[in-house]
Amino acid sequence: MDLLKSILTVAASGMQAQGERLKVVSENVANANSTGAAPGADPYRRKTITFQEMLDRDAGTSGVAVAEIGRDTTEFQLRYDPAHPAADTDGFVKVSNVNTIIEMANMREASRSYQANLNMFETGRSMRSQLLDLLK
Amino acid sequence: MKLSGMSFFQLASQRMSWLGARQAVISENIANADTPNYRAKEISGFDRMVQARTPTQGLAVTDAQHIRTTASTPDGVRVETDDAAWESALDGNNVVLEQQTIKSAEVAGNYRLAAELYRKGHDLLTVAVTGIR
Repeated sequence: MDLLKSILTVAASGMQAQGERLKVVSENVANANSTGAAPGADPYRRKTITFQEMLDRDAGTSGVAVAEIGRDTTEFQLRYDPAHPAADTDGFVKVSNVNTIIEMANMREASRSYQANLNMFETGRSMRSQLLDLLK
Repeated sequence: MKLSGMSFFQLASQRMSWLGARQAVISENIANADTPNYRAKEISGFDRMVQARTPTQGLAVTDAQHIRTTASTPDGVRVETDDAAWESALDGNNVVLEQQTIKSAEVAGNYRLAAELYRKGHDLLTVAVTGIR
């Protein structure tokens, strides 16, 4: 496979990974207020995502892949709300450890990285088309 | 007459393959901009590719049963870690998107230049052979 073509696959792997990251962010934001249903039950635990370098042996290039989607192990915060169905005997409800500000920052970063990969894709494509134009 | 035998065409096509290799490495850097412990990569200079008379690929694959080298880079080009990275993040990643974007734009411009030069050389030959502009 030629190098210019491998630019496209590498950039595509980057876009896919960043897309996956955005998906995790959206899950976190959507579940920011999810609590347990039974008294004292755990609420939604924030998901985390990590990337790793992925070597494509056929092309000899290294793209990126999702290494793992894990869970954030930080402690849940307690909120006093005795009327809530998930309130324990003291009236405290465990709330999710999702921090919306962090999720927003994460979202921006993912979308910028996505954009960078998209630009790379575009550049690779235009370089390839210049090469093919030599045939004209 | 071999086109590649003329130093101009050879130089232009070498330049284009070097720029292609560089852009491929930049795209890897950008794709891995958020990978923990990833170190930015860069390829050896064009001057070294032009001067290199001996291939730097290592062992040659002469039989179908040999283990293939993963390197897809052209002869005389070696991928190295980039020591000139601007900064490093806490997770050990030293890819700076801005730096890579600048490099990528530079490479794209140079690639266009090389492609245009190649085309001009072609035009020149056409004029010499046919006498028609």
